[in-house]
Amino acid sequence: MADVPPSQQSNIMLKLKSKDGETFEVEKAVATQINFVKGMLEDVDEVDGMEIPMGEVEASILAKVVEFCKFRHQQELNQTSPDEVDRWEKAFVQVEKPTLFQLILAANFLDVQSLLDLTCKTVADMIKGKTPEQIRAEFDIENDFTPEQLAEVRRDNAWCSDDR
Amino acid sequence: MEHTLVDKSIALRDDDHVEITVLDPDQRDEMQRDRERLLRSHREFSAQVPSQHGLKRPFPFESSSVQKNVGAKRLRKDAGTRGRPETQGTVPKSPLDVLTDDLLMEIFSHLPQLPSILTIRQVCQRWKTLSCNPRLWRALSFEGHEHVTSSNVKALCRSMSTFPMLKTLSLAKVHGVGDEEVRNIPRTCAASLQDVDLSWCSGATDKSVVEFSRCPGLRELRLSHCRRVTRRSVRILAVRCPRLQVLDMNCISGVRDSLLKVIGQNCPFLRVLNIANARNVTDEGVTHMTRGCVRLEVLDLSWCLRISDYSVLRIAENLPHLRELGLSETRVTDIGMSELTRCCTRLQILHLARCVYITDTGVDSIISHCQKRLISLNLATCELVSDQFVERLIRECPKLKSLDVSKLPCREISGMLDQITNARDIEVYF
Repeated sequence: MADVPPSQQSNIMLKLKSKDGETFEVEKAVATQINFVKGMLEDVDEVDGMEIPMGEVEASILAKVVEFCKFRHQQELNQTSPDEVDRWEKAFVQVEKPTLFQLILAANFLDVQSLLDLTCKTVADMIKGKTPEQIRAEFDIENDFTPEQLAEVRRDNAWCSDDR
Repeated sequence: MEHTLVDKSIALRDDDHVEITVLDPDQRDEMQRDRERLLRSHREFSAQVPSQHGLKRPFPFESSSVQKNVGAKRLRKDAGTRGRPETQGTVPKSPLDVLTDDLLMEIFSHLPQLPSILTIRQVCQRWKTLSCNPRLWRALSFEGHEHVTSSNVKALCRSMSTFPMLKTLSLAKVHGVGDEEVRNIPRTCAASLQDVDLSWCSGATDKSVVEFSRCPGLRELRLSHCRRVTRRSVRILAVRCPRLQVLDMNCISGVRDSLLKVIGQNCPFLRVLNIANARNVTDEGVTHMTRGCVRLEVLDLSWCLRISDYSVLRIAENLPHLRELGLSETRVTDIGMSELTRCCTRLQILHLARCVYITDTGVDSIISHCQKRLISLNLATCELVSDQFVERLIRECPKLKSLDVSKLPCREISGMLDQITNARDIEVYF
């Protein structure tokens, strides 16, 4: 695959098929940003127009993954400025939380490391700088500590949470 | 009759509600083997788990719960977009529950150190358990928490019990922590610890340094201004930690030639050495050290008042990789400077404050040999250096970013300076 020049690669199209049967036609160079696809293509000679099932990933999520891979591919070709990448990524992760978590699952399953990093970092940013109560509210997490446990865990960590 | 039996046994493979007793003997054996295989794989799994996840209790080994657990693990691993089986009850669910423990860890690993990790411990049981994962504790830094106390550190160590993957530890400027806690941390992570910063840590003593010397992989140790650490423990450390690359002993009491000799003999990989303020060190110690530590890139001998040209000539001879050298308030002269700049062809940063024997000739050799590389030069109080050569430094060293000429005569150059500083990124201190 490494021997094929980029100009030829761009002609080869693949069909990525979501769990609910929708297909997305993308250039091979874009699709191989997904390690899951790359791995599948390793032992195959004729790939043009090939249909690849993307496991449990639903169409709406797969659309986002494809959008992400297209941007990464463009970024590699055009040397997009870091500022612009930053802006695009910020806009890309402006989604509802359930969608974001589905994206994390998809990025993990399809092995797209940079998407996994981006989405996990986004969630980490939501956690950062918040108190435990604010974090529970943010993610609808139930406080399952007993009052004694809570007192203990608070006491041990109090010096730190007051700082920031 | 025969027919229905087969049907039932096929159904059994898909549906566990059917009684095992309806199986024929072969199939029952197969089930039994499956069960044993699961049990075995679970044992292997849980044998790894306690150390990796900080769980102290082993998993229960009853066959029913084993199967459930293994099934759950399997599911989680292959699930793709499926949810965590444990949480699919009637309890109100957080949208985060769709994520596996591994993925939550992935998120947590993007959090900055201590404050956030300690906050997530207080959110819920699952997060608290996950927060003990050694992956999150590769670095432990109390930077910005100067008022942390002994009991805080004790509580942290108690709740974690070990830090088996800790690579970086910084207790810099932490004053409330006593010697005992400083000593306890390396005991739990001796195999992984690499970089340790104890600068200005009032709790660090010789005993703590000896404890850190039991970390065979130690690469960096910063002991700057640890008033209670002396040469004795550093000597033990130098012998036991042959991979040491960075050793900062600024203001450590009693550093002598004998210690430098031990360092020279035992630490061939040293890249950074700071022995500033070692007033008892002489040229002899520096000579021994430069013979052994030939990979040095940064060396600070500032305020080692007894150092003379002899040391500088040995440095020039033995340390070709040197990038940064501190010689402030030593007895170096133009002769040493000429040899140094000629031989150390990577030199970028030089501290020569209060080197009263340096004259224009010394500065001239700096300009002619280091012109292209020089980034920072400190000539404060070198009173024999004239305006003309200060001006040449600024004009002829294009990479120079910082020049300290405070307490020098420098009367004539301020006019031309404005022009140059406007056109270039350079700071000049008068």
